Amino acid sequence: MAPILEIDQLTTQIPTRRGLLTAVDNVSLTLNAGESFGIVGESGSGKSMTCRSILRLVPPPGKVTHGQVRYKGQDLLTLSENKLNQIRGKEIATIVQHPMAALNPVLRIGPQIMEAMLAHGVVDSQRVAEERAVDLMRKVGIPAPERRLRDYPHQFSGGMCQRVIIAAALACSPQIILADEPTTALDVTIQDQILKLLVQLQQEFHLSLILVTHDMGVVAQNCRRVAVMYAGQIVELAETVQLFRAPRHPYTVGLLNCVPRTDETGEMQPLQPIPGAPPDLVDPPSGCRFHPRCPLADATCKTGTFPLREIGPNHFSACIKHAELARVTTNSLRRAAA
Amino acid sequence: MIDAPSLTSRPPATATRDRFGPLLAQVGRRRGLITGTGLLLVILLASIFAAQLSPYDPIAQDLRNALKPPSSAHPFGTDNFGRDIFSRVIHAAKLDLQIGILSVLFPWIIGVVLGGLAGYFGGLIDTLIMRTVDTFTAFPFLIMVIGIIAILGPGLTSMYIALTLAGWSAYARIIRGEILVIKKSEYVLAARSLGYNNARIIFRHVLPNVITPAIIFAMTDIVLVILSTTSLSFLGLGVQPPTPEWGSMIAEGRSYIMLAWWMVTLPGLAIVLVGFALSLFGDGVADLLRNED
Repeated sequence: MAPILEIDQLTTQIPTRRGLLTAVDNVSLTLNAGESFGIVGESGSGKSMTCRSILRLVPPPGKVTHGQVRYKGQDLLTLSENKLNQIRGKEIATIVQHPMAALNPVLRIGPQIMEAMLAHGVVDSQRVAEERAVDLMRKVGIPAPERRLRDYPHQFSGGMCQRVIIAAALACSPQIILADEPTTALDVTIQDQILKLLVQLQQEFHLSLILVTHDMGVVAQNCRRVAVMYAGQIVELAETVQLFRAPRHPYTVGLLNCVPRTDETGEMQPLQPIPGAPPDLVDPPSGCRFHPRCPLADATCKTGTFPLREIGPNHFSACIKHAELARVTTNSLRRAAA
Repeated sequence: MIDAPSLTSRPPATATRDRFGPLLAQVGRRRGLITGTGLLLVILLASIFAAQLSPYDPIAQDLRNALKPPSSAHPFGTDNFGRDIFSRVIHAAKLDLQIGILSVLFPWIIGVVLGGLAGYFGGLIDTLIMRTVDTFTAFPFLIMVIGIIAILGPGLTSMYIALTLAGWSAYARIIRGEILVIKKSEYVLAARSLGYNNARIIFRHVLPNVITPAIIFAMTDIVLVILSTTSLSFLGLGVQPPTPEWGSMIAEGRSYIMLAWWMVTLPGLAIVLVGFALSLFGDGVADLLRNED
């Protein structure tokens, strides 16, 4: 598959009163055409910031300070604001976190879906835009779209708002969709519906999707490849199946242990929270950033840099003890089986 | 379940009221708004049809009938030149309302645009605009207005300019404060992520969401402006005689206050009435707009 978006050494920093906070630290990843790619991590791990940095939508005073985002032979990070505005929404669309807050409360639903098409000149008349808006609303599962077109956002539920936002994101037939925790604010049953819809549309329109989430279950069901972020860095990147079967970073193992599951007898296994708290990004720990919380850490983990290294086919990990980790996890699996 | 019987026996009156839509139903619940709107309409109609309603020419002098108390021929009496005060009060309404509305509209537009730019862009633009606002706010309102008129010379145009220059800063301040909150909202971020340019975001997505407090303030501001206009005319800086204007009528009547109380009192009551109507109307509109949020 051909890469459609290449993120190279992306670094985003936010000046704070206590010093420079590095929210995204040297992140590199490649999104292939038609692929769904997951980014997971705890709150504050920099996954949303990575997503926002791609289209230079970091809230000020934050700033992308280093790196490249290559899309169709141009670097989105050095493009002029005008040129970038022609890509935002038209070729790369974003779905934001809180659907209820992401729609303008004083405008009706229809015009909000139509606005992107008219602003980007995708359609040439109000009438065509409205027809297309109705089509899109039907596509994303909004009943009676001709009537709902004239409703205000406060007349919609959270799940319906997210469907409207997805419709607006699809309005200009973008190539890439950046979904920043699209279901975090919704309840579990609606979450599932929205994700199914998103993946179905992604396949139907052959879109490339970056799905940011803190939910390992969401990744398992919806993404082909996944990057695990910790303290602004990618610590592990692999195909989803591989990552779940053989995690090669202690942090990934920790995240997987936080997912509720049952053993072979159907007995619920106890959840194992990761001890400690995420580090302070103004003054991150030396060496591997995970070492203060890592059960495998020793003196070698406390100094030096820990770049991602390929440890298997299409499997990258930043952990220098990945071999040891492999032994431990297989042993514990064997113990569990015995 | 206990409520079920009362639900079915809901009085039909509610059903008919629902047909007029929720907004009208809300208006119906507000007596102040209705009274205010009614009074304003009466004043507005009176000012529009001043020529038809007034029994006399407002500037025609009739010295034989000077300083006559209210009677059936002259319901509000006559002034020192024998002019009919009722006709003059009605004719003045048009001018005073026009001054009130225009002298709020100009500063409103300037204040909203500049405050909007300051709040949305921040940085140097914000500093420049807001320090200018501080400078303008530092002077007492009336002192500044009088100062500007003193430079430009008395007259209606100078008064508009002075009231605009003195009034815009309050609106800039209100709008900027509101925008600082709104610009961090998800829907502004969403609008940016859809590639909309700044003009579209400001005028379509930001301003409509922050305009309510500025509208509410404008309603009360109209009363204040009419009052300052009358003060200015009283001081001889505003509307020039013989054009009828409530403030200048009070100023002229001042010397005759022991002889002819009606010359001062009745134009004064007209001001009170307009102020009362606008206050009721403004408060009612404010309530309606707040309820919509």
